Amino acid sequence: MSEEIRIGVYICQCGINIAATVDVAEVVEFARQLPNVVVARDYKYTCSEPGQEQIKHDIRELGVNRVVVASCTPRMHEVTFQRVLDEAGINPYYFSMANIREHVSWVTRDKSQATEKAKHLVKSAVDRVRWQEPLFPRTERVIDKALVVGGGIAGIQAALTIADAGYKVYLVEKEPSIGGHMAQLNKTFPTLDCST
Amino acid sequence: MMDAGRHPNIELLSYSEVVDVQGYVGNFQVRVKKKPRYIDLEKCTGCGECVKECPVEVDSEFEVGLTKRKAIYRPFAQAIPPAFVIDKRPSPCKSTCPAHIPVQGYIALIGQGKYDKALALIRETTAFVGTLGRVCHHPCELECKRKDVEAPLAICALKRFAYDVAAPTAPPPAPVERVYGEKVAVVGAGPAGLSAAYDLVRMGYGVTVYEALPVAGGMLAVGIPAYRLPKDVLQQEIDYIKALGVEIKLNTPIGRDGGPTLEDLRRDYDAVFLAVGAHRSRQLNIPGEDLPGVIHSTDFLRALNLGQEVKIGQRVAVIGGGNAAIDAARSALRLGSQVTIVYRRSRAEMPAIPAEVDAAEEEGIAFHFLATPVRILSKDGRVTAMECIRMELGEPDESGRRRPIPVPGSEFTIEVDTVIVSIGQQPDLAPLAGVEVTGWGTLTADPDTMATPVEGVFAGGDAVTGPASAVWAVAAGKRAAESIHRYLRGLDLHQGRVFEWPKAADIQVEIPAGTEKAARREMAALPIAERKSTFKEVELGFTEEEARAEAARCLSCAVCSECLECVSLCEAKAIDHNMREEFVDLEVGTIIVATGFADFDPTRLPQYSYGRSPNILTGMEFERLTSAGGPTGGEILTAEGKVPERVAIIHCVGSRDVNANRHCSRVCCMYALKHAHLVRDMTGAEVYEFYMDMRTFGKGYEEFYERVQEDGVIFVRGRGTEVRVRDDGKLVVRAEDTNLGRPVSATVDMVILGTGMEARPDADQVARLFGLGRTEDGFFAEAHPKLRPVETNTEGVFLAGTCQGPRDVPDTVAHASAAAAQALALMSKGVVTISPTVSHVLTRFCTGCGKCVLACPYNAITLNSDGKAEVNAALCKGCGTCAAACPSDAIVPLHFTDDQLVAQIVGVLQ
Repeated sequence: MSEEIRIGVYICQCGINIAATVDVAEVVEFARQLPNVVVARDYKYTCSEPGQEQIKHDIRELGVNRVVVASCTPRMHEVTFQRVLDEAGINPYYFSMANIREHVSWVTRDKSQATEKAKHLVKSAVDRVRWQEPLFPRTERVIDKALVVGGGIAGIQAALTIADAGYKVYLVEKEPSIGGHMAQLNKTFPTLDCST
Repeated sequence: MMDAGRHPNIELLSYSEVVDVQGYVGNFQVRVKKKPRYIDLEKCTGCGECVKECPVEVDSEFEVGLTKRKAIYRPFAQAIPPAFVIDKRPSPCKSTCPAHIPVQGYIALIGQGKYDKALALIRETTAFVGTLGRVCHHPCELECKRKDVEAPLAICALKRFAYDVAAPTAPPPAPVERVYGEKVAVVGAGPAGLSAAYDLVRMGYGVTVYEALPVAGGMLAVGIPAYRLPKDVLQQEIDYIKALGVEIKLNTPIGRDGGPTLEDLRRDYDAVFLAVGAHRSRQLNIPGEDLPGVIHSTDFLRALNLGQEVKIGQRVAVIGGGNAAIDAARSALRLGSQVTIVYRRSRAEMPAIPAEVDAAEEEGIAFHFLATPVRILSKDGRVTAMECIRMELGEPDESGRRRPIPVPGSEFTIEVDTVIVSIGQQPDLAPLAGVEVTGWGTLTADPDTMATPVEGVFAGGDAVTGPASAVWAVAAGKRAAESIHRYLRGLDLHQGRVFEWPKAADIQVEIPAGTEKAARREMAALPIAERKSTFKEVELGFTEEEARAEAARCLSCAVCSECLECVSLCEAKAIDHNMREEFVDLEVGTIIVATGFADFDPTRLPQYSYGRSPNILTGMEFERLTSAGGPTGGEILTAEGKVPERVAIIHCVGSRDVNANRHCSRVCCMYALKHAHLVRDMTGAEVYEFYMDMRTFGKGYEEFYERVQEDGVIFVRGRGTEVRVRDDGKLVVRAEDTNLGRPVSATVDMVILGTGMEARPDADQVARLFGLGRTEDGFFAEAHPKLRPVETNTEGVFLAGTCQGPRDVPDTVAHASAAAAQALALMSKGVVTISPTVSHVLTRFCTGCGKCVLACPYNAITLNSDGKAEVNAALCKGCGTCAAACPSDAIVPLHFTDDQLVAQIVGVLQ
């Protein structure tokens, strides 16, 4: 892997969620100084359409080939940004995320400490992404049969919907008859019609 | 429901449970256990004839205990599948019985006055009905669940009753038709041999029984005295076996006195069953044992039973504590002697049936416990006395009983003129050349199949186990018969047989609520004075009235009693009581979990007095009360059958309550309003509705609330805090009216508790099976509370309905449709993307130690044919446990390599 590593760093303000506590401009300035970083920017909502477009633009125009986003938890938007990389023609595993919201801005009111910690986390993500390698997902066949466990109204409804679509369904019921609680009900609200 | 039952694309597996799930999204392997229904779904027409004669009634689950159902039942009229089902569980009595006689079945039939059928049912298992009904040591009674109420059932006496009342008048049976050409030789006409012969002849084999003695019956005939087992009872049962076609050759010993040898039998017959019993008495090995006044209990009882002249003295000592010792002592007493039993342990260790020991004592037999003879004294060749030594009990020996140890210098003398030795018996195996004998002097045979090391030769009964109870011999004979049948048909001796039955202690039986104490009946006995001089039967048996009353005490632990009445009523021949559970393996791409909820049990909140008055109902119970198919045919009536004048409905029972469930069950406000409307509409009764706040949030719900307000229901804003049952049966509901700011109460005829929904008690088990999380309220966790309401953290597994949280019918249908849509999306796409962040094996470093294989929680790693670890990427979740476990750094979790993690850590620290 002899290609030059060109890292783009994107610091998200998350409205005021991050920007009110972290000096975003200072973090951007810090990030620019890190090795291999060719561009560092901040934006109000990096996850928004324009935020995503900016990353794509830098990949195309500035030759960015590794991406770090410092924003919220990866549980929220890791997949979002990995898709951005993919759409811009870069392997989505060339991406690293620094959580400067849940781990920083939301857990302190001290601006200088928050900004300091955000820098550490950004550096950590930048250092990590340098070592990251492209990975390729595999696909597997899906067996076109479904199992529904429980033959009450939910199980019956699910089984019928799938079966009507032309797929085979195994409906497993613990009791001797399907029907569940529903079969015991006489009239159902609010229309008081029969349940079985 | 109907549509689901007959949709060509739906395969319904009812009365079934998922027991194992393997694989991953798109490729799940699922194992389903089909519980035995005992009814063939294909054959059952749903006619309901079978129910008519079923003697067992239990609470109907569908009617939430408001009515009863039979053991054979259909949960409700519109059930899908429409077939019946038999509710059969293990029972302590049948499980404990060595011969596994369907105890509950004959007791149920006796309870219904069907004595002939009770006898016939027992005879399906054993021919010795009247015999076992008299001499069995009945281990079943020790385990009878009724003991937890007051005392176990008199099971043995009931069996005897079935025989006494029905057998003597019954005509002899017709011979069984031969089905197979093979012939079987049985050696020994005791309970083991005759039981094997009985089963084999009924299967259709030719059977010849060889007996050395001049009578058949073995120890039953020559070991047990007539006052316990009258000769005519035993003879009649042996005649019954003979009438079926069993040939018994008396006075024909094997391998001695000119009789055929075992080799002859092996040549002339296709299989041989050795059931020679244990008739040789053990020796005392003390001085004076050879004196003419010293006899052995086996010889004494045999001579007595064969009507030979027996001479004993005035003062008799019997040595031993087993049943034979008691039999010998009580027989000697009947011959006019004074009898003392000398036993080396204490009364608690006596192996004899306790009731027999009690009877011996009642009749005037003396006991010398903790003593053993050391020498027998004589004068002029006649026994005059016996010198004994006192014993004390030490540590338990291999039998579990405390070992007796002589106390030095404690010798004492008893004046006697006859000593009867009864310290155990052994089989006499010398004539059976070619068989294998154990260190205990018994025959070697497989304890399960009864097969001996000799081809085609089986053995069982006392000859294998040493002296044991009659019912064990019967059980051994039955096992041997099944094995011989399999041997002769070329079938596997083990496959599909149940050798280990559930232990009584492991069988969970709930004693039905409202079970009242009823004393155990005991049989009348012959007066003591008459007992002392005759060999007349001591116990006199039950009267019909006693038997019916005793039978009524049965708790029906197994639910189905296996009385087999349904079998004869079913014209479609759909009933098979021998059905076993089956396992079905399925391969599916997606799974939808729709296991539903549990109704809150209001007994957990005693302030509502649920269970203390039949007029305090749960929401579901009231639901059944209003149903045309329910217990009252749809009329709203109190338990006394009256139309209620005032009804109270209490919201939030078990919901929004820190003492029960904190969550809102979401459906109760609406169903409470529905119930209020129905009460007003159908009875005109005054309705008080106690609510905290009214949650009528759905489409059309608020309008429904308004309509119920117009019905004239009285709404009280405040939690119903207490229900008290007054002596006159009226119910007083207390609450705080938060609008008025003061406590209020209402006296009513009926209370409906707005019981909520909670997670099912088996939710934990289901969660583990499918890899589901659970939320704090106990329901299954969805992947995201807003955005992914039907997905779970296990890809390909979706949630539908109330297993995820309380919801009403419209919401459940919507949720289930969403789950179906997610499943369909996966299946219609046909492929699924597997994340590449999995573990990767660096083959050149892998030593094949297998530590990763053991460490992997997802069974994703195996050792391949080269002895190297191999990761199934589809199963791997990238957790990294294997990498931590690998001693050679040969496994790398991709995207979490050492380089990446070190860079990340160092980066954050700089």
